[in-house]
Amino acid sequence: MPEATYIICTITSLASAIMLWRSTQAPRNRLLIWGAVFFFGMALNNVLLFVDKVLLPNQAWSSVPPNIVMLASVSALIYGLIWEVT
Amino acid sequence: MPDLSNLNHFLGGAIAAGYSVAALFFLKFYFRTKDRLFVLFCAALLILGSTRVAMVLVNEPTENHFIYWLRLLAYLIILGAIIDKNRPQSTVHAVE
Amino acid sequence: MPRGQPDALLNFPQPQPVQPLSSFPWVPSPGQADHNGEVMSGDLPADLRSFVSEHIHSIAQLELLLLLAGEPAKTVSAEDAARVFYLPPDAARGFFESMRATGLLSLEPDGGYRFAPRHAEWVPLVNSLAGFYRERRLSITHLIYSGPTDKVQSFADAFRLKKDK
Repeated sequence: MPEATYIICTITSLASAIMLWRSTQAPRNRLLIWGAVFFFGMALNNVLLFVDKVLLPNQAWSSVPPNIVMLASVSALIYGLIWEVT
Repeated sequence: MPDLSNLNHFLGGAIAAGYSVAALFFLKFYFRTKDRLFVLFCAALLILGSTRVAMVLVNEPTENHFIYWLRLLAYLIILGAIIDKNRPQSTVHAVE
Repeated sequence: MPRGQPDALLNFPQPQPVQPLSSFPWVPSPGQADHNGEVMSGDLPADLRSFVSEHIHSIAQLELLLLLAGEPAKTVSAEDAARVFYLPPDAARGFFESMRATGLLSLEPDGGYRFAPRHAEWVPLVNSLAGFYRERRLSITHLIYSGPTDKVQSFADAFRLKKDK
């Protein structure tokens, strides 16, 4: 069951990313681009979390890559929110 | 070798702060456009942030916990927002 | 509609008198719920629709643009336009500036604005827009106000699988 939720989370993030990415084609909207980056990063984070918790349990270091990816993604989202909207 | 547990907690805290800021933006977007999607995304991000806080407060490294259900709940809210957006109904756009 | 003698400099062409709604063949009957979108403006040319959604955000702005496009050689100051349209001068200047930023108008040395589109293919687009606005005002109005009004709304709209543009 825990494995299944990682799949759900990954699919949700990937779907959101793809929807946002498709809309960036016309007209060019930088906020959508940053949103897509955020959701792609979230999907990658879920994949890395799956590797971390399920494939490599009980290793402290394997939590670091997903955290770094997530921090980079949310920072990209905030960057886009601040510069494109305010 | 740095203290990895501290590093993970530090990263988790930064991520939680990031989620909170993004959630605030989405809340503002909701008030501006009255679009339900934004308040749902705001809630999902706040829940994800709370899981990060919980991971620090609860010292157990395993995920067989309510934290894991909270994460799933947040993603289901995001899915729900997407489904809600696609339901056949007249959409309301903010008119200037 | 400006009453009294308009400023001779502007030579504003009077818009057609508004016809009663019943004479418009495309007004949807009550009960046609969200079909309105397709009925009203779905059959306008795609390049016109994308032009409007990118450049035109209000009826007042459209009227100003058509005023300038009707006399491409003339420059009009924001104050004169504000007087003719009974707009506050700041609003007129704001509309002019935003159209200058997107490449529709140019700012002349005397402080007035002139219709000077950045791309030549916009000229026939604006002319056809003027024609459509004369004959299908409701469709153009609906087109202006039904598009994504800003980036934020288009973020939410991105999650619609079936997009009506």
